[in-house]
Order: sequence, then structure tokens, then C-alpha cells
Amino acid sequence: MGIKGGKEDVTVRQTTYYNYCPVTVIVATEVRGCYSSVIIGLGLGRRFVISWSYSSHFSFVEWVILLSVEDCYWVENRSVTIRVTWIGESQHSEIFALMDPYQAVQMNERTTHGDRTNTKIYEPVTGALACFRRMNKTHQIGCSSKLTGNVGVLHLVDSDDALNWVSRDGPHSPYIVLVYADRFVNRTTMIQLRDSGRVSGVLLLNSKTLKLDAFSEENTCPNRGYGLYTDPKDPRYCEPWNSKGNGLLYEEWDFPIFYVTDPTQVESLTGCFSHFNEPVNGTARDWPLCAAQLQSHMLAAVDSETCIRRENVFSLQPSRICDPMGGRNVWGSLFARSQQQPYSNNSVIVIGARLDSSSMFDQLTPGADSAVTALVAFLETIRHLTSVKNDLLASKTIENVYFMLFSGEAFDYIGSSRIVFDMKSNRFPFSISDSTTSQPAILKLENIKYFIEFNQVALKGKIPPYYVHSLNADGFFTEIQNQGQKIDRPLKFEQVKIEKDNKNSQGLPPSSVHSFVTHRDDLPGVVITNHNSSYRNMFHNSIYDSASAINYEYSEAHNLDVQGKIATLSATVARTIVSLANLPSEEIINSIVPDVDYVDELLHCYLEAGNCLTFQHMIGHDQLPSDPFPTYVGVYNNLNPLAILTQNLLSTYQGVKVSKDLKECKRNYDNQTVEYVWINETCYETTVNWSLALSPAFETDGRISWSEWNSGMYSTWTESVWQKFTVRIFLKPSRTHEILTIVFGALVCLLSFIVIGWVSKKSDVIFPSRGEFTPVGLSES
Amino acid sequence: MYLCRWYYLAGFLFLPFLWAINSFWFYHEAFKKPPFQEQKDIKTYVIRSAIGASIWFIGLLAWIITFQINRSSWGELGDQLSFVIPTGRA
Repeated sequence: MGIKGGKEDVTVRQTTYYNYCPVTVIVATEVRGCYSSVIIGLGLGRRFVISWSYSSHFSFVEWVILLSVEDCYWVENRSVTIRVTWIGESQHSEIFALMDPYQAVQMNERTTHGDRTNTKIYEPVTGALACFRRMNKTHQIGCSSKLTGNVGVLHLVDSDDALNWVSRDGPHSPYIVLVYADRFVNRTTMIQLRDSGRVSGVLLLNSKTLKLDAFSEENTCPNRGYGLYTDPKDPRYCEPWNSKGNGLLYEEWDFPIFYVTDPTQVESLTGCFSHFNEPVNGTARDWPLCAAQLQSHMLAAVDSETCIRRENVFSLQPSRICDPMGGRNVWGSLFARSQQQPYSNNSVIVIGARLDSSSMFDQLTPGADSAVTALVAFLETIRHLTSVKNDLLASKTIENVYFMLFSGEAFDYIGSSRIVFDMKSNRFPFSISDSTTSQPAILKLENIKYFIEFNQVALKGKIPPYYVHSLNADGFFTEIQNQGQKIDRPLKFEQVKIEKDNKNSQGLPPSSVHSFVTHRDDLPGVVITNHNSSYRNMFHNSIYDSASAINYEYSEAHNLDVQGKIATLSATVARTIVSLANLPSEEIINSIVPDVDYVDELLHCYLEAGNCLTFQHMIGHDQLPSDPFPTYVGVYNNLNPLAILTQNLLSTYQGVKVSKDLKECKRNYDNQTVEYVWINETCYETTVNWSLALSPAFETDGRISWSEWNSGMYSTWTESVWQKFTVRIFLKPSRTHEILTIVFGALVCLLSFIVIGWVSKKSDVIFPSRGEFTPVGLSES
Repeated sequence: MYLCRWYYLAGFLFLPFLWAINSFWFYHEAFKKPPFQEQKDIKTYVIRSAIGASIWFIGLLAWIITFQINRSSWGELGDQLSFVIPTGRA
């Protein structure tokens, strides 16, 4: 069920860890790509202890479930059910494995005593998020440690003196630098540390008190060189849209970088530094010093071409070392339409938004304004439109409305370039295989009347305007401004202005529109954003682009500023599209009113709580993480939970409930214009579907598609495979101490050989040999 | 004598280690032992084996050094010539 023919092998292991008893569940599967979103449940009688894990890219999966001591006692002598739930397709599937009762007992015995040498020397730093390696056509970016990890002496860089100490004066190089975000954000500091050659790793420390004004790891001009402006001499090639961008994400670091989020871990690191390492009156402390070992070894290197080639050449260790980035594009249309009724030119409206953002660290890509606000505005607009879809069916000017969510836009427009590529090759949504069956109508670029994209729409305060950046689409702007003035604004916070961008020489901001207009010059494209000439969002594509960055808080009517404006914008856009349909009735338009509460709920789900009620309904159970889902796109063959949840959400908007049970709820090959999905014990008939968001520069098996690769028009990003991320600290004695220890050890070993050799030679002193004894078989005959 | 000759001839089948073994193994027979009938022949084989083995050794060493230095800059050729490609670096 949904596992796609994989064979899973679940094993359980226990280790020692303070007064908890951790159970490590290792799931090995033959199917790559299923690892991404998995729920592990450990059944204790009638209760399930839940551990949820999301990782974009593991070569195997391992979870540690921490049980309380009471639970450990309960486990004794009982068999335990382990349930692995994959969030896959529209269903979830389950694997049951029994834990050996003997192991359970052992686990219980081992809980309280940590007497292994390993645990005496090292103290693990848990919850550290790693920076990892990505590659494109020409470069590798990101971080990697040596195979065995990088070791260095901890040093907190919180002043210029400390910076000089680490990069020039300190006697204990190499250092592992502890740094807070206020220094990390400074590009020159980080480059100075890297280029000094005296740093073997960086730990970025989380601080609750620190308030940053801006932090964006993205470049100042995101997706430079892709889309419309590919000529480096063109001033629009790199306009500083993201003026706060420091580009750290696109730097190559030859050491590991981790982000330590847990405040207690931060305390133990800084404590260890100040206790053992901090220089006193400008002089270095003596050994032993507090040191750390960081492990984040990346298997791939050089560039995408090299790592894909190395996967495919004959070698003794055939394995995957990198995968093309990508995910799922989610799309649907207001009406199902079969290929027997092809679209006429300029008759289809396409509404789009991106589903992903990026950041420097694994698992922490909140993407609040980089992705989520526009995604929510998109969803709300579609919800409005589906509520009036029966009226829209009568329209003569608009034959259909498509809605598309693109994955991988942050990495050179992976998703949108793929859909446009498919459209150009006449295979969007599917190539027509048989003229008799009822396949969905082909959508071509010529059919598109408007492409309308939401991109970064968080606004707050006193009626700041939304900006409409457009190409070939002045008609749309006139209509949306008109509708924007007419819309009811019962509450003050819902007020929005809609203005045209007044700096057209700058060209279009980075957006999916680029992919469309690149392949059809006169395609009317519109980007609706909160910014004019540079981003309003100071945290674009960064780990700090979270709910607080856009002043969002889930609330009951006391501060609905952000929500109100998004709700009004969505209703305005929905009304604009209805008015473009040229229908006689004003009633339909007036039936679309801003729904602040629903927008609030959606923002809450995407920004604050992955286990919100709406998502629970979409998945059909409540075993979801309390943290928000990361918006990082991942690699193309993994299942991104965000895409699946959003697809289900759209299916419930557009779809109709039909009375089919789980077994019947599947694609009907006589009518492929609709899909059937099973959501929350109900079968929906819907046009909503997904397509692979994989750059056209790659084949579906992950190899390079050379003609598209060489065209330079398509994303070439790949992500390296890694084995594990660990951070641990220990007290490092001086070099002489270390050498003495090993020499002493070797001497003892040597001495023991000599003694044993001497003893066995003289053994007849203790065991006098009997002269007459001859071993059987050796007797001379 | 038979073995020494056999090893020497088999060494021509691109088996330099056989030559190396031959020259070590029969060194004692060829040079250290008091003269005996077949010693002269053994001496020839041992010397030739030793020369062959050292030519091979020098050749291999040169190749290994060239390969290790240039593997990453050779790109695709370098990867195809490798049995074990190191992870995480050029």
C-alpha cells in the first residue's frame, strides 16, 4: 500500500542515555525516496509513543525514540509493536514489527548505567542541524567534514578580538568557532574565518535574546542567470532584489557548520568554553581544553556532472552519492476537460505560487514570507474560485482556470521550467496515448490568457500597497485595481492598496513567470508581491524566515493584520478573475468575501503547527509533528509531506465527494480527466494531481539529459548523500600528553609480548617437561 | 632448478611478483650455497627475474604516482580507471 514494492527491514537497537531509555529503530528499505516522511510509532499496550522524522536525504533511516523510565519498565517482558507510517501518495501504509522481548529486557537493564568508555569521554550535542553540500553544473557549495569528522578547540567569537584570536593569534589552532547569528550574518567575518585556514568547523548558536534586523543566506539576485535575463551585460541580469542577501548559502566551506538550536546545548557549549578555554587577560589557557568533533561527511564532490558520472561508472562500491534536486508540482483545474475539447488560444488563466524556499541548514527552512504567505493567498484564491465554479462554467472568455504550485523554484526554477518544458512538448498534463480514451485536454503555452503568480505577500501596518509586476498584462492590472477599490472592507486591518510597480526598468522580480515568458515572449505574466524594487522581507530564504519575521501569530481577533491583508488580497484576485470571465451577474463577484479566520488557520498550519486540525484531516490521523513542515524542496525522488498535504487540501477544495470505498477510490482509465483520492475516510473526485518537479536537464532515472543540460536554460542542482550528522564535545589533552599516552600504551604492549615470549620459552621451569613424552602422531616409526 | 626456471618463464605472463618471489627464494641457492651443478643456470634466472621485477616495480611506481597526482584532473578518464573512488572530494 503506497510503499511501491519496497522491502522494508525494521531492526531495533538500544543504547544508554541518562535516565531515558532510547530505542533506536532502523528502517532499511530498498526503495530510495520513501525515506523522506515517516512516522514511527512504538506501541506500548494501547498507547503509542510517537516519533516523527523528516529528512530530505538519508541513505538509511534511523530514529531514536526516547522512552521514559516508567515506559521502560512497562516494556519489560512484553513484545512491542513498532508501526512505521509512511506519508505517501494519498494513503499511509503500515509495517508491523515485533521487538524481541529479550531485547526489551536488555534495554531495561541498560537504562541507568552509562559505563562505556565512549560515554565517559564524549558528550553528544543533540539537536544540531547541519549544513550540507549541493552541486550545480560548475560548483560545489555548502559544507562537509572529513570522513572521520573535524576536531578543533572551541572558541567563542563574540568580538573583533576573538575573531583575530581565532584567525591569527591563538596558539591552539585548529579551532571550532562558536558564533551567534549577529556575527554569522556578516559575510566578511565568515570569509575571514574560512580563509585563515585555522578553523575546522563552526557552530552557530541559537539565542533567544538576539534580535536580528536582517539575515538572508540567499544571493542579492536570486536565480541569477536563469529565466528572462541571461546576458551578464544586461543590468537586469543581477538586480539587487534581495538587498540583504549575503550569499552564504552559495559559498563553499571546507569545514562543517552546524546550527545548535537547543538552549541547554548552547549553554553547555558556551559553559565548556568559558570554563576551560576562554583566554585570561589575553593569554591562552593551558591544556586540557574543551574541544568538539563535528561529523557531516558528504559523499559527492566537484559538480553535478562528476557525481552523477561517479554513480554510473563501474566501481567496487556502487552506491548513490548525489541526486537531482526537485519534488512535486501540484496542479489542478477548475473544470475537468477532456482532450476531445481542446482549448482555444488565450483562453485559460493559470494561477501559480511556489511551494519551496531554501536555507543553509537541514530541516530548518520555515520560508514564511519566501513561500508560505503566497502559498496561503494562492490556496485561499482557489478556494474562492471553486466556490463559484458552477457559475464560471458559463463563461465564453475563460475556458478554464489552472492552479499550479511549483517545487524547487528557489533553485533556478526547477518546477516551473519542468511544467513549461512539458507544455512545449505537448505532454502537459499527459501525452495523448490513445485518441479514444478520455484523457485530459493538453494545455499549451498559447492557450494561456494570463499567468498570475503570488510571491511574498506578507504585509502589515497602515495600508502599504501590494505591487503588481507585469509583462504584457496591463489589462489585468486595470481590472485588479478596479476590484481592489470595490471590495468591502469591514475591518480596518483588511485594507490594502494595489499599485503597479514603478520601476519597470528593473525587469521582473525572480518568479516562476520567467519560465513561462522565456518560452512565449508575448505571454501575459503577472507577479503580485508586497515589494516594489527590493524585497520587503529581510529574511528571504533563511532559517529566520519564520512566523515572527512576518509578525504573524495565531490569534483570536486581536491581531489579524497579516491575515486580514492576505485574505483581502485573495478575495480581490478571485473577484478579478471572475470579472475577467465576463459574466453578467455582479452577484457572483459579491459572493466572494475575505475570510480572515480561514487564512489565519492556514497560516497557523504552515507556519506554526504541522499537527493543526486541518492537516490532521488531510492525513486522516493525528500523528503529525508539532513543528511546522520545512519548505525545503529536497531531492526529486523523495516524497515531500508539504506537497502531499497541500495536494490533499486542494483536492478537498476542487473535488466533490463521491460514494466509493477505499478500494474503488482509484483512477478510472475510462475517464482520466479526474483523479480519485481518499482523504479522511472520504473519496474525492478531483482534477487535482501532481507532476514530477525535476529539471529538464535530468532524466527521470537521475542521469543527465545532455541536450537540455548544455542549453544552460535549466537547473542543474544536485544534493549530496550523507551518512550521518553528529556533534560531540570532549576535553582534549595537550599534544604531548596524547603522544605520551600512545607511546606508553605501545610500550606496555611491547613489554607484554616480551614477557610472554620469555615466559613461554622458560615455561619448563614451571611445567617441567617429561622427557619420555612424545605427542601421538609425531612418534617416529 | 625446475621450479626456478618455471617461475622465471611464468613471470613473462605479466606476473612480476612471481619474478620478485623467484629472485628472493632462490637467492640463497644462487649465491650463498657452495657451488653445485645447476647453480649457474639458477644464477642467471635469479638475476634476470630480479631485473624484470625491478623494471616492473619502477614502472608501476611511476604509474601509481602519475595516477594519484592526476586522477582528479583527468576527470572522466580518472573515474573510469578507478576501482575505489574516494568520497567527498575531487
